[in-house]
Amino acid sequence: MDYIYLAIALPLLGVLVNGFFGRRMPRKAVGTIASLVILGSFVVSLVAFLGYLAAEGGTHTVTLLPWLSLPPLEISYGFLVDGLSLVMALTVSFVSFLIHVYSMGYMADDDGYPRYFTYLNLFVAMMLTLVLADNLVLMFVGWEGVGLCSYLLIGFWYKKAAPPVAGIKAFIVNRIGDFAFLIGMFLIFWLYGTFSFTELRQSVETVALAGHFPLTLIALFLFGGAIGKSAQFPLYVWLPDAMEGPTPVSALIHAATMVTAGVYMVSRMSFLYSMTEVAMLVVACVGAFTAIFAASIALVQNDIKRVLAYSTISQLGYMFLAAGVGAYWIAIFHLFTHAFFKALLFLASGSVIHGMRGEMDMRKMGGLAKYMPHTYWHFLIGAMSISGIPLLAGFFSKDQILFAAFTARPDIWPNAGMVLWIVGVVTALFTAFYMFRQIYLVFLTKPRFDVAEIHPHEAPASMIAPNWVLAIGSVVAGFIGLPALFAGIIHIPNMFQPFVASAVAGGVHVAEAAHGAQELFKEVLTTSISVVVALLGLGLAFYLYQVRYGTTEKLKKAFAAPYRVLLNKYYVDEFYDNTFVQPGRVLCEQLSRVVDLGVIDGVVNSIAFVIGAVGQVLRPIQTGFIRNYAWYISAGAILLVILLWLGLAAK
Amino acid sequence: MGVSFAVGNVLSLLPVGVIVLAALLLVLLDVLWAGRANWRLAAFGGVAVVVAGIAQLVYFPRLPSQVLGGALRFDGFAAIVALTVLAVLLLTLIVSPAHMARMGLRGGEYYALLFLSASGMMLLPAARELVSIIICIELLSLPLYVLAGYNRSLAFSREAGFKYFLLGAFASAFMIYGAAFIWGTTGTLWLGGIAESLPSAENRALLLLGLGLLLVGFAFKTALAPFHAWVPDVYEGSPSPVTGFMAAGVKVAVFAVFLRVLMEGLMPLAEFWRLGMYVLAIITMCLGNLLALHQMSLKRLLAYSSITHAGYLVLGLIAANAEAVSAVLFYLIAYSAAVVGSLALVAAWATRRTDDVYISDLRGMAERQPLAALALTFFMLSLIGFPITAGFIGKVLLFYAAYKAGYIALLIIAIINTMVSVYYYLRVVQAMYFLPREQPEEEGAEGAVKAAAPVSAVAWPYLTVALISVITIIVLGLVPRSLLAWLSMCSF
Repeated sequence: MDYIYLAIALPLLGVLVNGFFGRRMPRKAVGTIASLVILGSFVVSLVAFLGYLAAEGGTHTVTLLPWLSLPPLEISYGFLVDGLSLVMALTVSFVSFLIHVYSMGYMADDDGYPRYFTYLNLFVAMMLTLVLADNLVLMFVGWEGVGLCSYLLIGFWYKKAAPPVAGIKAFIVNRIGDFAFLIGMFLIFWLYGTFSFTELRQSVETVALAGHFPLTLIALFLFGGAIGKSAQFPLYVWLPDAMEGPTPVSALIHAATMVTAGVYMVSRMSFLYSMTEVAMLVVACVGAFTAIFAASIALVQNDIKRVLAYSTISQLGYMFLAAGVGAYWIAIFHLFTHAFFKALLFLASGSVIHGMRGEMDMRKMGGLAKYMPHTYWHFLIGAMSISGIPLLAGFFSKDQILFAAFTARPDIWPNAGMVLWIVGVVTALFTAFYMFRQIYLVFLTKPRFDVAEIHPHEAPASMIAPNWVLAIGSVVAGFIGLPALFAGIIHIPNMFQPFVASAVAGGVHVAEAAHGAQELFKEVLTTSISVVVALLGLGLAFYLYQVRYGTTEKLKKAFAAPYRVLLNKYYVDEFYDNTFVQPGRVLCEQLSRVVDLGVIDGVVNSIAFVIGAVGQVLRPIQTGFIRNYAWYISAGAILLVILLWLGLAAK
Repeated sequence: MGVSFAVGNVLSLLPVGVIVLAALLLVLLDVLWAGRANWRLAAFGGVAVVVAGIAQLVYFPRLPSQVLGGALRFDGFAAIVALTVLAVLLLTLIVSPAHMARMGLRGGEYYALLFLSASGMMLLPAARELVSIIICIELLSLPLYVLAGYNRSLAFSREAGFKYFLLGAFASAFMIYGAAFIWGTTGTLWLGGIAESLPSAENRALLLLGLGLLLVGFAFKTALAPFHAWVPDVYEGSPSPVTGFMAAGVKVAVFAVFLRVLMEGLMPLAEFWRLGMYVLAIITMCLGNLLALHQMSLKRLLAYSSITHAGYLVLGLIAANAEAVSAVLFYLIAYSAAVVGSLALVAAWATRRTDDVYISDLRGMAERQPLAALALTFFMLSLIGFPITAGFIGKVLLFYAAYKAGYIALLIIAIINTMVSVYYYLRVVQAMYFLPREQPEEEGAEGAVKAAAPVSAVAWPYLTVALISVITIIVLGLVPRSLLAWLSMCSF
């Protein structure tokens, strides 16, 4: 446990080795080193986990070095080991390891092989810094670090046009969220004078502030950061574009790192969120709205990865919904199961794209189950898990979120729980539908491409093996956190909840301990509804794409307008472009034209004069521009003196 | 305070003495070595800088020592600034010979002028009365006017020197007028004396006029808007190593003395100048950033970035508390490392025709010169204030000082500006890593010329400077205590 920082140091070592010597090493060595250091991180986390169990829980702080000292504030390279950070570290390092292994196959022919693995290792190091940091500043280092790495990786294929733009977009949208996050940090320091999580928790829980307003403000600003990083409405726009990166990178961003940072942060700060009902409700509502909003977009998308991207946004919405109703451990539980099945879905889609020679349009696929049976099974298991087919990992975590929403009774809006639950259930219906629509379009319907020309083929073993591990995880990961209903039947106790719950604030709204008869009835009720809904979605996809294949075209014509709105993602990107991006660009261009271009043009013109005589050069400068500059200075001097006199007059 | 021109502790003049002597010897050696001795001159200069640096470290003034009846007072603060200037000078010397050779320039007075300017920079933070301050500022400026126009074959460079000279003279006039008014109303030019005689000053209005004019002079030298207009043209036109020397050295020295003048001499007038500086800070940060957004030339981009950074530094001046002193110094050192390193790479990649690098020239640089591209990325990250770089720590310290002084609104404006600045710094990184090298056939005639411009391999002098800068940035970012322990000694 004392050596937890090795989990971060090892990937950094990988960055150094591959960054400096990667070009001179054989490819196999580069990929192997990169994968091994991540495996090392996982082992370190695992050892820490065992040590933590042996120490019987608690919260341990490991301080490596002091960093900054601004009395009374001390910031150090300190790491926090508790249930929450361990779950995150294990999930991140494990899934990342599998993605590294998969990448060795997927990127085998890419020119930027060493560069790719350098970024990938750095990404994992930053994410582990984020989840293991014991203070907000160090967390912010990781927070910014994953942002930077995502920018580098999304834009990895810089020779194409779209990826660099997508990379920039991801970075800038994230900065908007980060700005809110910084203000939140700043307010925390203002009110509590510390950035350390443990000290902060003590202060928040013991020192009563005058009213909850400042707390609400802090919570909302921090949540602003989470909205950016975890791609919630309205800052989700960068995530679908992030598909431009290599597919394993999408898997990494979507499953284990980056987007889960916001959910982790809210859980880490749960002691603060639990004090303020308004902020909790905002978190829950933003989460629920994002969940249904993104799921509805996913219904009609044709790009195989884009469907998955919107599904990630939607699932993250679920996690915030859970956190917002106080069920932090369930949010983390869903994050945990989601890491498996989303990584699986992405890597499987990567195999499809790989086997289809880069084709991503599902309208040009079909019937691939015959050509890539392993991938078909992977995708099917992932889809079943995310859709909430009973007894798979996604079923248990999603079911508990819905139940937590169902039983939530916030004082300020007692019926919120019911509304959130209905939204959640409808989202579940959408989810099952779009996932199985995808299964049918890609794997089961008749091929809509020229088989002779494309020759779809199964992925190599290095890509299949990690997927089977993830597939097994997607099936069984749910069993460590069974809901009370199933725990009673199967006799496996819920191990996940007590482990994480010690690190997060006690669930205010969740009936945790006593499951009376009435509670049990409610749980049976919600669970059955979830199951029915999931099967309904599946059945609908079956009907539309298998039984009555072709009906969808009629439906598209019948509902042309709503279909177009969904297909164009509610026109949000266009709205942002027209409202923020274009005016800003125009403003800057005008400004630079007025102030600057005159000078540049002047210089360019003056070069032409130089060819003649020196005097010719000085003339346009003297008459044109220095006078202007001098005029600026004089005007500034007058302004300054006036300001000083204003001060005098005010006195 | 009685004025007595006792010489005082001469040993504290040793470092600057070495530099002045070296400047004189360089002129002589240039004649002896018959002009074609760029490398030898630079090597000689390097030795002199190292000697001066050792002298400065050996005679590090733990207790302030006065020279010339107190007109110069050497203390830890001045020593740190002097050491920073020496470091910047050394790095400039490393890149200069190679760059001069590529641009087809002879050495000669170039090195002597660099040393003379550096001597002004070293004396400036020790100066304790306005006449000395103005003389030191002129001492550091006059050689720079010549250096800016040193590349006589380039119109840009001639223009830069000329513009800088005219506008610099204009600004100096303001400054001298300001000093005159202050003398007229308070009867003294000593910083300590001004502070003492202020409350009894009869005519506040005239005093404020003097204060305002003095501030104009400082604002010009530190490139605060609206006194910034010379910066882009001068930075663009000057030979690249000179730009680096100017951007780092002038900023360090003038900001240091600016801080001292405000905190020591004019503190009783703080309620007046704070308002003015507050407004200047806002204008400077915002204008610098907005104009930087669409720059095509890397040197102009860095020029506008330097304006923006000056705006951030004003936060420290306004805060004017104990934290601000070490924060401003730390920020200046971090900034110097990034900007000297960046301009070393600009010098390495510059074409002889323009002595500048356009962002489009950087396309695909990550593949061709990965190490240099990585270094430039670090500089950009440090200028952004990205965590684990020195720039991040500098911003934290600076913003913390402003926070302690209670300038919350200003702080928020600064943070917003930091966010905006990310865009244009990342454009540089984007060009190097994400944009393919320009294809002549796609870009038409103009693009063909650009793509044909050879980007030679980065020679070792440039790379050495870049690596030293990167190491400085990372070490200061990871273990800021190493420097902060020193800086804590130099409160005044």
